[in-house]
Amino acid sequence: MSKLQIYSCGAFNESYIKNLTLFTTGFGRISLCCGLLFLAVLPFLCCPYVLFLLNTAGIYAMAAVGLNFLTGSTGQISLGQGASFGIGAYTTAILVSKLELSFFLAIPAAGTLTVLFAIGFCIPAARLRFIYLAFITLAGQLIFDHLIKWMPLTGGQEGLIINESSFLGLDLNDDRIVYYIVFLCLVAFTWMAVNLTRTSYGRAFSALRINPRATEALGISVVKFRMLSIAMSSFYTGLAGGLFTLHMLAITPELFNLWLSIEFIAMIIIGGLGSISGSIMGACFIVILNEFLIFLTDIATKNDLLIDPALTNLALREFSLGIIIVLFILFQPKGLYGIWHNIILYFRRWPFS
Amino acid sequence: MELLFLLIVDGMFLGCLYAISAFGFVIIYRATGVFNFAHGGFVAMGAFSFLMLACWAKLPLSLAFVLTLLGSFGLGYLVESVILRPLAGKPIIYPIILTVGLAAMLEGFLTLMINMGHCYTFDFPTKFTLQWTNLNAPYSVLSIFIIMLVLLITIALFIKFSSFGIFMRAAADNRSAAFSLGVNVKEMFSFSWALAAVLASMGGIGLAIIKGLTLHEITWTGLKVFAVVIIGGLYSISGVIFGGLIIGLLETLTSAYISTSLGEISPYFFMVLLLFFRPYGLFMKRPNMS
Repeated sequence: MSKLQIYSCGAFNESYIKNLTLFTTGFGRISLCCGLLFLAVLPFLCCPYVLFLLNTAGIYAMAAVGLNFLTGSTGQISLGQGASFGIGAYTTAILVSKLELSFFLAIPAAGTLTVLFAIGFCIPAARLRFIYLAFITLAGQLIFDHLIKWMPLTGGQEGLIINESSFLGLDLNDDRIVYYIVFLCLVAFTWMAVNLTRTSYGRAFSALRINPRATEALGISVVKFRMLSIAMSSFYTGLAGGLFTLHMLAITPELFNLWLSIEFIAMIIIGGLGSISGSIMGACFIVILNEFLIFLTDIATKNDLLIDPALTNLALREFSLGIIIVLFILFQPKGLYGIWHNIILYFRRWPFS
Repeated sequence: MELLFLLIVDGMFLGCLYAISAFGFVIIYRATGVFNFAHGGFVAMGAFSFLMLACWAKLPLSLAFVLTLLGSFGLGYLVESVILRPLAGKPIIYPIILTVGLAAMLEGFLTLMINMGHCYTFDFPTKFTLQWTNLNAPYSVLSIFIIMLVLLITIALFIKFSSFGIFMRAAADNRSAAFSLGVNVKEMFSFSWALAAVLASMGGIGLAIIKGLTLHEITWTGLKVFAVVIIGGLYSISGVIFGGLIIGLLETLTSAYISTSLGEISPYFFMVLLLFFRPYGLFMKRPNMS
């Protein structure tokens, strides 16, 4: 238990056990509690529009935390995270609308199914160099894009609409209910992710990123741990996809195309590779960016600059995602988390910074 | 039977174009160790700027061809020297994700350009359909293909025999050894990117001529380069040609006999299957990982 005291020269760890603690000072714990409390009362303070965005951001954040296992910890790139998200969303939608399962069962089932798909698909990539995962997930994403459009089960281009709108007796048309479901899931799974990085598994993931061969020599099976990280990340993403269905209650194929995958990559780059809180910041950033782009598109169409609003929005989204990824990697590779960390450091070392 | 023959010719033609673009990808990978996910973007850029120059600015085809190649040379050179060089020495994952971002940028830019174009259309004036019996291609188009073939052979010979090419391969093989022997490694890396962009845009021009260009195609055809590269093996340049031919044939035949949308994704199915059984490409043995 860390004491509530101010370290005048910054907090330094003197033992390995201390290095593993989450909060170096008691203030971290207090601010976390305050932050969670604030988030818990937030739906009563903000307008429905902001609430809707918050829900979306929370769902994306969960998927981004999942992707961070893969890219941030293990150092593998996945371009198929959108497909995982889509598989989760579609599985939930099908289970709920066609088999009349409740959301409570359908969402975990969707997560599990996503894991099975991902593992089945990525077996060859785990045996090869890390880059093959990027190729194979890219292929998976493109195959998913096409298949989802002409399978009768998934409703083709029109997508699926869910008539069931209750979660354990709660009304899902109220965005506040959705907010609390998403919020609880996000907190629980982020907490799990944070703790995982402190266990031997988390350290094995990091070791894999830094040097796979040395890791294998230390007796950690590279294939096993790569598969594990793929499974973990796709479980998070699939679950987030399930929550997305619960949030939207209607899904269409173009929500889950390659651009969603690139959006997820952008989230973790913006947030900072390997940082869990960064992933959440990145998700918020992307949601705000998308709203801003919709606003820009409106202006462009009103002034008759561009013809097709949907296409303009797509183009702006592609371009801005690309340029943001490039700029962040070039100038701020540690992402928003790095900026935040620098600010904290500045104040912590104040007279000497 | 006649149809099958036509389809095979068509597929091989397409495959050759894929192979040309994929050749560029392999050059970048071999020279700098970066997987260029923006290669599809380079292909699309080449196709787009050629069509812009030829159809909208109404330049003669040969001039448009030369200008496009020069432009893509500049683009490749610029991309390497401005945004990839600062990342030298960083973990390899950063430049790779950077190329993903670059791909998104190029694609967004092209979509925006096409979207803004109420002023131009992409009807290529001399629609080129490959028909074996009556080859109704105009000479200008045909000559572009011949020039392309000549250029390709020249580039291959250049890499193989000229001192510049040897420097390039030396820098690719072992950059510190090459550097200590006086090779300007930075220049070589930029040059490899420029060459790769030229090859990509050559593939793109070919695709633009035979398939025409719609928004859909910009997004999709460039990505097939990755399937070609995996099938040919990342380490081999000759494998890429076979990979290109296989992908071209597979795509054409599947689209013709089963369904068009399956034809679009058949390369990826094939690639995934191949990764299960022959992960280092069809013609490659397990490479000696050094």
